[in-house]
Amino acid sequence: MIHTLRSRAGTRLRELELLITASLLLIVGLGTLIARDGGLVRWADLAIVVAFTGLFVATSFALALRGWGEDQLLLPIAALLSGLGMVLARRLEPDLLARYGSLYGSIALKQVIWVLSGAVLLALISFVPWRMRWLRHYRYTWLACGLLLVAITAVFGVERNGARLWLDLGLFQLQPVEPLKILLVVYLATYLDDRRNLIGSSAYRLGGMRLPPLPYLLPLLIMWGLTAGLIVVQKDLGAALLFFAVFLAMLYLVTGQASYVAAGLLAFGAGAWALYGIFGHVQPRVDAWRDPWADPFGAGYQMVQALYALANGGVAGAGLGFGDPTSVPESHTDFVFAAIGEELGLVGGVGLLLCYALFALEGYRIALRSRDGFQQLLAAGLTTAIVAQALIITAGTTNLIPLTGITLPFVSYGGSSTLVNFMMLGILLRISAANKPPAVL
Amino acid sequence: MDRLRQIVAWLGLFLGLAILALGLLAPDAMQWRLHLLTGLWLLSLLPRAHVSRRLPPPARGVARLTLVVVLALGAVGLQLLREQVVWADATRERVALLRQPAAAAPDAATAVRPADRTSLGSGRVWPVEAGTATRGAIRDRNGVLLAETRDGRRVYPLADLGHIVGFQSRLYGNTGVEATFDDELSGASTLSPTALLEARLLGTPFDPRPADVRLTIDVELQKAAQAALGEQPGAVVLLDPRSGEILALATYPRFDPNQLVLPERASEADVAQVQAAWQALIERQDSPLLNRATQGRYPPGSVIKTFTAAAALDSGVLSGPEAQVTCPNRLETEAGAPPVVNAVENLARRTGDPSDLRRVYAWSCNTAFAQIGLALGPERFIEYARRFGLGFADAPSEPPLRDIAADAGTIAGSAEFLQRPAALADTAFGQGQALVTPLDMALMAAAVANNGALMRPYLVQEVRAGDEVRYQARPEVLRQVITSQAALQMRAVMQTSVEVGYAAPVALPGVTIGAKTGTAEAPPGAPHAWFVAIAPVEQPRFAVAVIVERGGEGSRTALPVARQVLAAALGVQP
Repeated sequence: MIHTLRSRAGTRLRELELLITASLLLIVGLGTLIARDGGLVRWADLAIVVAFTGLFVATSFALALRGWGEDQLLLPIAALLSGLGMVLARRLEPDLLARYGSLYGSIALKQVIWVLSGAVLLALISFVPWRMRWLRHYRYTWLACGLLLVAITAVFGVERNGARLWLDLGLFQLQPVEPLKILLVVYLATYLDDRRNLIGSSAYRLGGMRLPPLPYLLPLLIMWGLTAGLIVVQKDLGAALLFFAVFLAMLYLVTGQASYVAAGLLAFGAGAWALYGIFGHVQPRVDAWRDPWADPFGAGYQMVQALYALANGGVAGAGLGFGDPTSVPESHTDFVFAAIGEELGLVGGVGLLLCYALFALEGYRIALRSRDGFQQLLAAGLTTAIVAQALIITAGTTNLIPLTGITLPFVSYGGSSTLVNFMMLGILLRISAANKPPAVL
Repeated sequence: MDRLRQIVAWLGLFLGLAILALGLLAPDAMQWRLHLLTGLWLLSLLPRAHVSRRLPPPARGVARLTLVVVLALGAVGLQLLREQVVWADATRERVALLRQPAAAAPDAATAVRPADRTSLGSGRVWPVEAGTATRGAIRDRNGVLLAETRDGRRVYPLADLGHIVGFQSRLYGNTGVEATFDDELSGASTLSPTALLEARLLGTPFDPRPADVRLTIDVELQKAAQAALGEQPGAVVLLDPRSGEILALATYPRFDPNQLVLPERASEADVAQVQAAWQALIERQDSPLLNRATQGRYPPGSVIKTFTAAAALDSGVLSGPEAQVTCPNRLETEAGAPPVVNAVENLARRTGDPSDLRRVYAWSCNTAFAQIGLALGPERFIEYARRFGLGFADAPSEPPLRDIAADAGTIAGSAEFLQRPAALADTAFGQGQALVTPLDMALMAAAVANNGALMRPYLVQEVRAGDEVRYQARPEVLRQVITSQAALQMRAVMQTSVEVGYAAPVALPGVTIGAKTGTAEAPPGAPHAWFVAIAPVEQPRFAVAVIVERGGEGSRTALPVARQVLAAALGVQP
């Protein structure tokens, strides 16, 4: 027994090395900020570094001892990104306080709590016994939970910035769209996997166009309706875009038909075009995307500020703590990428993108190697959800596509989003475990 | 066939790279996005050709998805490259050139000739017989009546706002808002030029539609400012730094405009009475007709150190509030010139030695600011003066306030003066040739308060006739005088002055205030007392400047006035 454990202890050395690298980034970042503020190191700072490193390293070590052979790259990437997120929250807090008042009090401490809770959640998902099969079994429960969440938010939600996205739970405000991401991916994975064999069996024809068979058409229509509903009721364009992208990606994986994706995109485009005319909140986004300089103090203000921040960053950036990132509204959540671009420069921004690219490569590799169709779809869906979210917001804040508000996974400040991202990571790790005993499948 | 595909794919790779490179240089964003899409599609040909041949069907989908995601991330990376490197300078330049859409300037304001912009009245008489019975009213921001026409006679219910509202006198012309917005108030602006010409040539009466003018002044705060100033000659300016709205503009001595107005049918006795009142006003030694708040030009004294410090922080001469600065007792600047000395001997005991910017500002150390001015050098000093709206006596800048007569301050007689080190050092700490108005100093503090953005000050909120809005003032950024980072640091410096320095007595319970005292020597006689302040420091809503002529030390006479005004504005008990 001891012998096996000893032989297993060294199996996750790569992950350990990378985790230590991620901790070094946290230490250097915190050190920069502390040096800028006069060099006073508080006990809390040390506690944060120790807790952060300790939690991740302990998780890694425990995974090694159990020896299921999980993937070794995803955890360090998440640690790196969330460490960067904590540093940024700490860096932005005083500036946000000075500029916008006490509304943004103690976001640094809160983000530390969220990230550490996320790590604990990850450990729980990894070590509390549960079966992959449950996800599949209770599919309609998940779907019902998701729809209920949306309905509750639509009725009881709290409105902020003109969007009704938050549910006030007393202790904290939940953003129901975040758990909805997991629920939806799980449901879609089960649904699409069940109907895998129907590919190309019976195609409907509408005029000259070949339509997908009904089992694909129906959820497609439902998804289309749901996303449109999200836009109309909750005014949450970012989530709608994300859900639709994830759905199309999974549909493509099952069918291998690019034409379905094209049809979906067309439908989305038509819906967006219709909504563009009808709803006031879509139009300014598109106008600001087309030419933010046309109205630099109105609709284009945030974008112009973001572009200015990026321009000020240059190649190497202004340096952590030496820019003025809070001149961009929402710099700690949706626009955190602009803050990174300003203070860490092109190098930091591209580095961050590389992290997400690595995450995608690793996530899809897990999908390729997973043992059944359901797990493959689930892994691909979860990976797509995280990376597509990163894409939507980074491309949005750099004015590549119209801006739709959504958080940058693991980096942005926010409780719901951090926790849910760690949950998704936990499920991905579980799928990647090559040697897991059959009992947990 | 396969070979052909291979060649096409390789060609696509090179073509794609070329298109991307061209796109990076394209100034139009839409064009760039199109280039990006085409270029990435061409780039993807090669990996796609490999993927389709080598992989089994289920893996092919995943591989293609991966390719799409990686290419999309690459697109964001290229966008970063474009925004952060290729077009970064262009973006910075565009931001620097941005102007907020200027409020449509009222014709009346621009049409007034400079000669007419004195508070002594121009003698200009409108040649068209506009019925005075129908002239519009003037109100404060909350609707309190400040001027109206009753039975053909112009009445000013609040007698002591003559410097702002002005007067409409058939003998001495119009002044103040009555003059700049005369066309709107009389309704002449609604007439077509031909109708006006006809009315002028034929002397026929016309039917104007007069409009009411609403000011940004808050009468309650105006009264508080006047009460705080009391009967000391001087002025108080209170404005909202975020918009440039002037909330109170008190000056003493004042005059009652009612005594200069003739009734519709004036008897000879009425005319004689008005003439006597006018004669008395213009003969008084203390110039009651002069609007000291916007036209009184005084040496700035130590309050100008706010400007010097802001310039040093913005230009990088000082790295931050904690930057080290020394405060020696004497500072030799150039041979033959008297050395710079401090107002108090051994000031270094209070500031510490070496000290930092916070403390030399709080204790108003002349020698420290002389050094900072010298470190800035004349070119940068002049540039920052221009940004803050201070010109030269031989090349004055345009006064920022358009709604009533105003003068712009000057930093020196001419640019040559500041080339001498002794002159530059003197100007940097508040002596030399600088002459500024209280409004200039309020704007200086306001720019610091508003993250470095200097807003155009204004007095007239809107002009409307019934439901029709004829003029609507919109906040307008005149210039970004310093970066918001420097402004943030400057606010911290100003706050220290209240926490530990000479400005400490201004403190109010529950509010953070940033401030600077000033004692401007103007021999012969006692110095002028100055005080500028912003509050609350975190999110400044008020900027105030006070001068008490011959008031002695700023902290003794001007500070209590500012404190009372701030207390009234912030709604706290002093």
